[in-house]
Order: sequence, then C-alpha cells, then structure tokens
Amino acid sequence: MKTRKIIAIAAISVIAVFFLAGCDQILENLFPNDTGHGTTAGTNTLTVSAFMWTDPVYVTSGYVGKIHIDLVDSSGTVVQTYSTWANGYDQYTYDYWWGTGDYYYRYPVSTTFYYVNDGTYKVNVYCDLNGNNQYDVSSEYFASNNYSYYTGDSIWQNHTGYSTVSLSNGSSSSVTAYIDYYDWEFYGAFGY
Amino acid sequence: MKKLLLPLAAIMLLAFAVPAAFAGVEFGTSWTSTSFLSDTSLQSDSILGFHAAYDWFILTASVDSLAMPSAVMADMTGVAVPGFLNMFDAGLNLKLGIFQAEALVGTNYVYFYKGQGPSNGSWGANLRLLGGLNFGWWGVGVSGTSAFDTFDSLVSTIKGLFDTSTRDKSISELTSGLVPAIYLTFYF
Repeated sequence: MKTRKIIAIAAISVIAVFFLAGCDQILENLFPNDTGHGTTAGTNTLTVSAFMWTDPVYVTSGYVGKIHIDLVDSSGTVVQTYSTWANGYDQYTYDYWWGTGDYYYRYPVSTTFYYVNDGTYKVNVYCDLNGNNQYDVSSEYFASNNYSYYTGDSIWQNHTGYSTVSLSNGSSSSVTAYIDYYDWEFYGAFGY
Repeated sequence: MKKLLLPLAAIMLLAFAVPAAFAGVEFGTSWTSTSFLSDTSLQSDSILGFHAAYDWFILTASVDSLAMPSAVMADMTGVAVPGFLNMFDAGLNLKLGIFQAEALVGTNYVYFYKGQGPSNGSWGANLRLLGGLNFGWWGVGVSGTSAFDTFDSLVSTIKGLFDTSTRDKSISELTSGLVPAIYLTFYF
C-alpha cells in the first residue's frame, strides 16, 4: 500500500509539473537540439519548398513517391529532416513544363525548420520513387528566393542536388527545389 | 444504425449494472523507440508518453500525451518542430485473468512547440489497440496507435479496407502511421 501511495504521489507530481512547467519547457528538456537549446541558441528559420513534377501516367496509379528534405550542418550531420508522401490522390497542379511544350502534374511540398542554430547549412532534397528510403532517382534544381531554370548538368550527376545557406542572428531564409520524377540520365523524359 | 445501437445499448446496460469496485483510475507512462521507422533519418530519437485513464467495468476513457521529436512531427504534420500528440480516447477494456486488451477510438490534438506551425490547434482522430499483462496494481504491455489528421480520413481509411481497389492504400495508411509503444501502468 505504501508503494502505491508513493507511485500515486509521483504520478500526480509528474502531471502537476507537466502543467505548471509548461509543455514548451518539457519539450526543450527532452529535445534541446530541436528547440534551439543545444550547444548554441538557435533563433533562425529556414523554409524549404519543393515542387515535384510527374508525368500524368503515374498519377493514375495513385502513387508518385516520397520527398525527403535534409538540413545538414558544416560537419555533415543531418540536424533536422522532413519527409512526406506525394501520391495521386493529393492536391496537385496541372502545369506547363518549361522547354517541352507538355503539361505535367506538379506537387508542392513545403516545410519550415524553426530554431536553427547559427551556421552554414546544406539543404538536400531527394525524391524517393518507390518509398524504400533509398534516394534512388532524383534531379534537383535549387534557387534561393529567385529562381531560373537549370541549364547545366553537373547537379544531377549523382542524383542529388543541394543548396547552401548561411543563417545567423535570427535570420529567416527560404530555398526552393524543383524535382523531376524521372531519372534524367536514363529516361531523358523532359529533355531540354 | 440499429445494428450499431443494439450492442452499444447492451454494453451500456452491463456497465451500469457493475458495482463501483470495478471502477478505477490508472496512471502510466509509455516509451517508443523510433528505430521501428523505416526512414533512417527519423531513428535518432524516442517518444515518451504520459497516460491517465478512468476504467469502468469493460469501458475505459483515457488521456495520453506523447512527446514527439521534430523529425517525427515533420513526418506526421509537415512542420519540423517538436510537439505533443495529445489523444483523448474511449473504448473497451477487456480482462481475462492477468491478460488485458483494449480497443479505443478517439480524437487527438497536436501541440507544436511555442505554437509554431500552420495547423496548430487542429483536431484529428486515432485508433488504438493495447495488449498486456495486469498484475493487480500494476501492468505492462504493448500498444499500437494509428493517428489521422481528420476524422474524415480515419473513416475513409476504414471504409477503404472493404473495397478491393482501395484496400492496399488503406492498409498502407494504417501501417505507415502506426506508432507502437511499450507501457507501464499503475492502477488505483
């Protein structure tokens, strides 16, 4: 009976602390890096938008793929990450793909990383077509705030593209990625 | 509708007929390793949960709060900040000897750290299954929770299970959003 009383008091104490200390305090203690309470105080915000283009033939299957966005610090550590599914049942825009005269479905994906520490980061965006978490096919074009279409070919040599962004003193930045569904090198689907 | 109301009425009558000795309060905690996630980028954290419930014969009503790291929150909501998945459920609580099983359905509310995130304040839905051992004043077990952003998506997912053309998608949605956990509960 004594043990039960101790446990009851402990349980009620935990609940009391939960409400008195506040949810945010608990999250800061549990996840210091996610809330900017890690090694340095993070106050920066980074918004990453990605647009994945697909041929309509894939939409009828109800499945398009998965998009991964990694925020990588200067040591190469993935400090925050985001991934989401895009399938044929989700919202899309039927849009014109530059250079081909054809129309393709465009899936918008966006996420905001809050409480990012000061520093220089690489933003990697990958397209995972079969959902096996292998970044098997993707080609990306990045622009920061103001974009123009990609004209070179080095960025998708290894099927990854990235953008580098520096954040400090409470800055807010945004990065935009454009991803085509196909493996460009093998299918040459869009062909500039 | 009658098919649904009759068993519900029977359960309610049984519940009202039970003495107060069958009623009780429980507190507990749960833990989930994110290593179960197939996405390796999400595997560096764990999910800690707080649990409180009121049991009444074969019925139970519970409140659970799961502290989610930003990677899991991003996967679930699209916003990369940590937060709490708060679940309010009701359902059946069946005991046979030391064995215990619960099936719950309810609503959830996602809290984002410092109120960040465009969908802060939205209500979703969840399905929960629990199975474990009850040793009188304490118990242990495992649970599986499938959370949805709206009740409509929960209903359409369940409906989809009965249609061959959408069954695979429904199963995928149920399993991809499944959060398994181990729990420790104390009964009072």
